[in-house]
Amino acid sequence: MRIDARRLTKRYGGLVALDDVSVELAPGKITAVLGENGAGKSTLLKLLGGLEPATSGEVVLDGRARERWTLADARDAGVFVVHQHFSLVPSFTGLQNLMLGDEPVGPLGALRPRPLRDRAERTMREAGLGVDLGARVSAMSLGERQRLEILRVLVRGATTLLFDEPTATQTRGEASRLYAMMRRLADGGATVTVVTHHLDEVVAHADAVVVLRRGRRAFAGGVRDKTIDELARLALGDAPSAVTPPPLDHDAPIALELDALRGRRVDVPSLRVRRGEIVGVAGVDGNGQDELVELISGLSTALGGRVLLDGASLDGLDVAARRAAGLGTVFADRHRFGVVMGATVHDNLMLGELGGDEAARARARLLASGASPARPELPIEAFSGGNQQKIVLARALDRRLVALVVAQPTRGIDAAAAADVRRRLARAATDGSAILLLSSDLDELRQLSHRLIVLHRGRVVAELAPDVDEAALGRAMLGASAA
Amino acid sequence: MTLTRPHARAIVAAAIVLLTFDLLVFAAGESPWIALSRGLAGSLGTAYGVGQVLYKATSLAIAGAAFSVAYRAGLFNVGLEGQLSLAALASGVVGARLGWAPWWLALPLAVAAAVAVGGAWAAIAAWLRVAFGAHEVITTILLNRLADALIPLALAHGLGDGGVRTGDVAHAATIPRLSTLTHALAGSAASLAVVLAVLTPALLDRWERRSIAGRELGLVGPSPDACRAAGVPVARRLFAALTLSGALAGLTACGVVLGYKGHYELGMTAGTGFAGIAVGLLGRGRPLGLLAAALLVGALQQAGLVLNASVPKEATDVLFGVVILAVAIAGRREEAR
Amino acid sequence: MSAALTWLVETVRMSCPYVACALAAIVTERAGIINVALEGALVVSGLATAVGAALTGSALVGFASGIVAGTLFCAGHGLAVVRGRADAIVSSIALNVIAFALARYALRLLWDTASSSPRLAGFDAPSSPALAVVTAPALLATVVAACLVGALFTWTRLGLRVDAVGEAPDAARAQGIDVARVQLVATALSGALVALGGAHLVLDQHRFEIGMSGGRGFLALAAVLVGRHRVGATVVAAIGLAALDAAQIAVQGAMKLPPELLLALPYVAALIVVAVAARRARVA
Repeated sequence: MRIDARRLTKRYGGLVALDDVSVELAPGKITAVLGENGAGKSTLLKLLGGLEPATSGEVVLDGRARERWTLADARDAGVFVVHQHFSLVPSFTGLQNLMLGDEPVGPLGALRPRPLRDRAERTMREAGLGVDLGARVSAMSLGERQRLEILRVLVRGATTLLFDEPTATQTRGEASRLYAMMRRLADGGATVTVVTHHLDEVVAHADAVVVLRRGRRAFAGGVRDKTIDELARLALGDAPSAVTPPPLDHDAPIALELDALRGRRVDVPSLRVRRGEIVGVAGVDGNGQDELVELISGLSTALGGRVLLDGASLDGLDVAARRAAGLGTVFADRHRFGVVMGATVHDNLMLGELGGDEAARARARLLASGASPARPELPIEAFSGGNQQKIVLARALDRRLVALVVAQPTRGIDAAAAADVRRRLARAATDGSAILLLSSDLDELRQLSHRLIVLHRGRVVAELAPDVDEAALGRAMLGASAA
Repeated sequence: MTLTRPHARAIVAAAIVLLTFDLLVFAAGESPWIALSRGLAGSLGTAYGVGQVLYKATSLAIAGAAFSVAYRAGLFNVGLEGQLSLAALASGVVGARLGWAPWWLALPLAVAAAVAVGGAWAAIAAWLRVAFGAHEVITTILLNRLADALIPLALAHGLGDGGVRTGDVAHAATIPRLSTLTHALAGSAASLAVVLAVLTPALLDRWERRSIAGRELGLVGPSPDACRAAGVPVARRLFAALTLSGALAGLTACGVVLGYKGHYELGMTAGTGFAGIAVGLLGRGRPLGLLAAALLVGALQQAGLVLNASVPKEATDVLFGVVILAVAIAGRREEAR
Repeated sequence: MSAALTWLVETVRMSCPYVACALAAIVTERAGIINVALEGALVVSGLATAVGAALTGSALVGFASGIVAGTLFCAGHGLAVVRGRADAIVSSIALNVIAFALARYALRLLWDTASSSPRLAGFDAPSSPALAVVTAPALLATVVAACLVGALFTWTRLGLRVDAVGEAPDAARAQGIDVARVQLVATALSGALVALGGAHLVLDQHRFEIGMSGGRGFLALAAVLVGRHRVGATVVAAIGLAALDAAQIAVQGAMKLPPELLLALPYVAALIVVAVAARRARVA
């Protein structure tokens, strides 16, 4: 089925998320929607999928404009969004998740899963999807969860599939397999749309592309109508210059050392980071990164092993004591572990270090952070995600820092802010701090790190140079021994 | 019809309260209008009535402050009720044994006993929360029931007169009535404890704004994980907040035992803890807000007593529950806990 | 009757309110709504049962009015939380205050007493006391309800949706489920379940009394924690609480201990259990 968006606009309060955007999605094709964070990609998807009503504009199906376009209407028309997050119930089995929302029931509301299971198994064979329907989602890998999501919409009769950032946390190999499956669906006549911010994927796999920038359509057409550089410029504007790490002094003293550090899900026999060195930690999300940061910071207790800072063991020290010893930490989950919502910027900058000459220190941190407006009395909510991240980073950086452990420093923030954050990290290394950088942005890791280690199921499975080729890095992230 | 606009919500809330009031009064065969005017006259229309309102507001303001300090740290102290009654028992028991002491020793000792026992009882819930992660709402409810069971036991076996009350508190340990200062308040239960009611919320507010521990309470409340990650001693702060809340509940008890009755008797603080929760929520933790809310609820209770002959006084308690509910609906819900 | 048999019969008698409250708590908590208003629901449904039975002289009408009152009461909690967006704990506390006060108010108004209703008609019962306990209609209804709640979560659409809404509301919403409606249905259903216990208390004692709920609505929450929200395990834990209650009476008769000490025991036990369950949940 052909599905068109005609002059869709979406406002949230005063914010215009999508501004007069028209797109045409043709059956049998893969159309990529490309753009920065906050460009309106997800909003477009939500409007097309009937998850949210448009402020103005309309959805057109096979040339017929639809006045009402709710979730139910979209589903009746075979239009489904394949979500990246928050759409599976973790404690449910695959089959229970398949049923949820469209349950096959007999008399008295009793569930009748048998026919659905048969249909699901048939669909799996046809589409080449492997999912263990009896297993709980919480025990499934991320890839299997994604296959379950796809299976669910197919079983419900999807002919138009709208993928929301399906490859955001995947290696290239995984992504390629996913695109191969999308191609099979498209060849079978489905309309496939995929939201992404990976330009290389678009060029390699899509037939058509829609570029969004700041809520507006910057381009729509065939993938081969534009070069990669042109597409990049359309999506990003002039790309911010790449940040490089400072030159490494191989004789610098070891500032941060992990010695046989063991937790519930991680086990790192030995890792040493010199002063001024940036070590990148690559890995698919959920392979022990979070616990590693918690163990080093002192937030959770190690089952064995030690963390040493400038050669001194941090054993038995709590978070505050480790901070005082010169360890800075930035956690991946900014909302949970970074900022205190409802508090002022001042309190957020000084969290854990209240007292003393607060006002002056807070002002200095705020200036150094580059966050704007530089008004510490404002509530933190008044700041964008990027500025909040700069504030969190400023809190970790402002003191004589021996080592910094920083996870996902640029996740979910815009390109300009991300570049600022990376520059700040590089400067900290220049100033002599050892930095352990955990990120799922492989480009960022390769750009900033002196060397890379790869974490898989909580273990270091490879140590690589930052200019290693993509394929080898991808293999290591999936646990294959690096060649 | 999820209401989002604040005005619409406030109007609905007010309508629910009024409707309940009408229903309750009608059911008792009285006219709401007459009931309202008689209630007003009896609570705020006479010096005695004002004195009674002041007496009730004294307890309510301190109890409201007690609730607020825990709430600021994100803890919901449903246990004020039990902390209050045990603390009241303690001040009665200790006060009755202070016949030998001069007032400058007797009064502080009796108050200290109440504060210590209130704090200790809350500290059990605080410890269960910090060491085990047991939700304070459930544990404080259970501790309330436990206090209910233990107090008669204590009164019957050694701490009381063998019946339902303690002996009389030594005169030196009592708080002077306001009626000794002005004859207009003759017969009313209001005492100098009213000074505590004004000071406690104000001092607490100052502490919460100025001290490091106090400020950190307000940060731990909305975001315990971020605080932990930044090295704030979260467990210690939570423990302190709930314990302090219980200690203030103990202070509340003093106004009743030392300022009014001169002894503790079974059930005499019943309901004050829950009313304190309402005052704390209504007053939103601000000193003037707490005082205003305490006066409002105190006037409501006094009006209920005045009307008792024609409308059972329990009607005010029903109304009072409806007010809590209405306020909860009118105010925006903070992040789901 | 032998002591053992007495204990057994008393356990059966007392298990009804515990099990009813525990079932209700399972349903609301699995729907993601905190409900500590069960004690109040027990009081209100008991009161309504007494009023219905006294006005009509029919135990059946009393029973029915108890169920209706319990349902409305908990639905009120659901409305306040889901539609009114009130904090669930505040709403629960307010409803408890209302329930306790309403009971006293109604007793004063209807029977001009502060503590207890006059003797009420019960259901026709077998003459053997033990048999009467075991065949009490409210008790039998609770047994059936326990099976139904078990079946609800295992085999029905509503059960599946309640679980989904409680665990992952965003996921449920993305599947087109009306989260608010499911939560409202769940809270109303929980009211009907508690009411089985409230009605049983009143019909069993042939009167309504202030304080007859005895904290069971709160203690049941401990049973739910121990049973980890699973129906079978929670019912077993609730029966365990009843057995403890029954043992209290037996021991009290035999050993001449102060009754208050025994009254305190279940709460101490519940506190320990809550702490252990919380630590287990934290580690897992």
